[in-house]
Amino acid sequence: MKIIEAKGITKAFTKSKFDWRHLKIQKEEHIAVKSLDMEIEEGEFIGFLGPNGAGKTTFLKVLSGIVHPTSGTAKVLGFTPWDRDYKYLNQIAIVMGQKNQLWWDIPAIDSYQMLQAVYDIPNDLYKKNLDEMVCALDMKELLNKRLRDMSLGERMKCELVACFLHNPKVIFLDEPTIGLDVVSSQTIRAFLKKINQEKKCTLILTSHYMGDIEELCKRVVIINKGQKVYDGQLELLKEKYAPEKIIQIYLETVEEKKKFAHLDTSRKKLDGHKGIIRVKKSELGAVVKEIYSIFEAENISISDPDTEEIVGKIFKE
Amino acid sequence: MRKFFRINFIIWRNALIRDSKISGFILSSILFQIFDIVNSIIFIVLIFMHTKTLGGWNIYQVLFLYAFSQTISIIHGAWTKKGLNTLANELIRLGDYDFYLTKPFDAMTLVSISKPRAYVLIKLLFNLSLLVFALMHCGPLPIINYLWFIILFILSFFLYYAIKVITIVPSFWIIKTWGLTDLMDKLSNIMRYPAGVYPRLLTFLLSTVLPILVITYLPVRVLLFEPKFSYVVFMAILTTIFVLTARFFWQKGEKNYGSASS
Repeated sequence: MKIIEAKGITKAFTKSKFDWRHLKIQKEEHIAVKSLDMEIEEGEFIGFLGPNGAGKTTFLKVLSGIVHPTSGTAKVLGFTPWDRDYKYLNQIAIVMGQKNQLWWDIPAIDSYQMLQAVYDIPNDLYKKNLDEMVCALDMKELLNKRLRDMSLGERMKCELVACFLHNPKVIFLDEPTIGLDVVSSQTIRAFLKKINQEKKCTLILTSHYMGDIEELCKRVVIINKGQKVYDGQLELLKEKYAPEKIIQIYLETVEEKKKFAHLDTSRKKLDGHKGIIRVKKSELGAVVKEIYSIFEAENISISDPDTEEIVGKIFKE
Repeated sequence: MRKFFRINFIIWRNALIRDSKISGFILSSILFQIFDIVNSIIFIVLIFMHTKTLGGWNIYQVLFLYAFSQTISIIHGAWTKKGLNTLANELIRLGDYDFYLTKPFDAMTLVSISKPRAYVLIKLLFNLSLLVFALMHCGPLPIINYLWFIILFILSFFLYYAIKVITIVPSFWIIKTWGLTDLMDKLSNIMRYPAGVYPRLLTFLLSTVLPILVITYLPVRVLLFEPKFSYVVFMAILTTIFVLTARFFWQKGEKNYGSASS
């Protein structure tokens, strides 16, 4: 069942300034999102990728009803988001990695009680959800701590708890792991994966970290300059843009480096003690046979291209 | 309505927890405000050393009017002022208004009540003393006057709030509008004095186009002098118009809201 349907969403920001020379108002228009179409099924976990200023967050804000689009239509859970029907707002949540919705000067638990009142969450459901998430994120000691006394990772855990208290069906996550250390990021990823599987909610994630996308999302949407560049499975993205394998050979001696230099393949380069060859999948068999006949097996590794590299290439196009 | 009171209760409780930790600031704020009240009373007394009436009102009536104007300001100062000022200072500029828009509760109300300052109500105690003192010197008043006064007091409360919202709403279009947060405070000085002190044209404008005068003058007039039903009708219509206007512009502003980059 399609839970999100967006057609032709365009958002232009207009900035006005007075031109004293010509005594008139000049308008500058910046198109953040240009004619974007999107369909998302219930329970999907989608990753939005794009360079800075691509329009990912703006699109998320249109779908969550924060901003009105300049043109286009959208239906999320059957509602037009920017109408801000309370029945719609009761079913969505948004987490922004660089902003806090919880109160700065009071313990997290007090902010949760406020949210319980705003969302009209019955006591037993509130308690159940809170206990469940506190356990999943292992943050019991944070409940009575003021937000301003917490680290970034701790604050993000609290923000995530806040967003799931009312059992939303659609959750918009705008860079939730930004600035977090490896351990905190992993904890949050594990939590989001668990929530998506158990509650079957739909999650839309924007992130600059490929680790987030690779671990959490099967489907990826790449946005660049306000337009959709790719929409599909992450695996197929690699197939489409980098249908090759990377062979790395650790070259211990000068002799080995000479052998590497004499290899009959055009797409090779020497990087210090590492020889790197990019091979099309169709030619892999023959090349690998040759490599293994020349070099020691323990010095050879074969891998897929780095997703970040592929995506970076798409951004530059 | 139940939801509104529940949210309000929690917000006030959280504000008390927060404010209890900054006692030094609260004490100095209260002392400053008391100084301001005493200063104003001295000023009124000084005026009445040179005249028996001000706009046709005696000193006690003027003191009552002043104390009533302070009451309205203090209640709003405690309840809605900081929340609305935060919209102009931060929420629009930093994009933090986003979170208010994604909650299933009226965003304008939530912003308004989000930052109460309980300690401001301490000033009300001093103010209420002044009200009682002035009222005691105004002679016995019919009960019906008190009833009309209560009705107009409630309407005043909403009218003051609506005008405050209208002064803040330009923030949706003009992002950096810190000056707007002081505008209502400056306008509130007008409502301390009886309408008779102002020229007729100004009185008309301050009773219709920008009805600051009406907020305090009409309720107090109805209490201390002869109550007129026409005042109640006029105040009710004016309050309705301004509340609807405030709402209309706020919703227009939300449509124009573009959030902020994160």
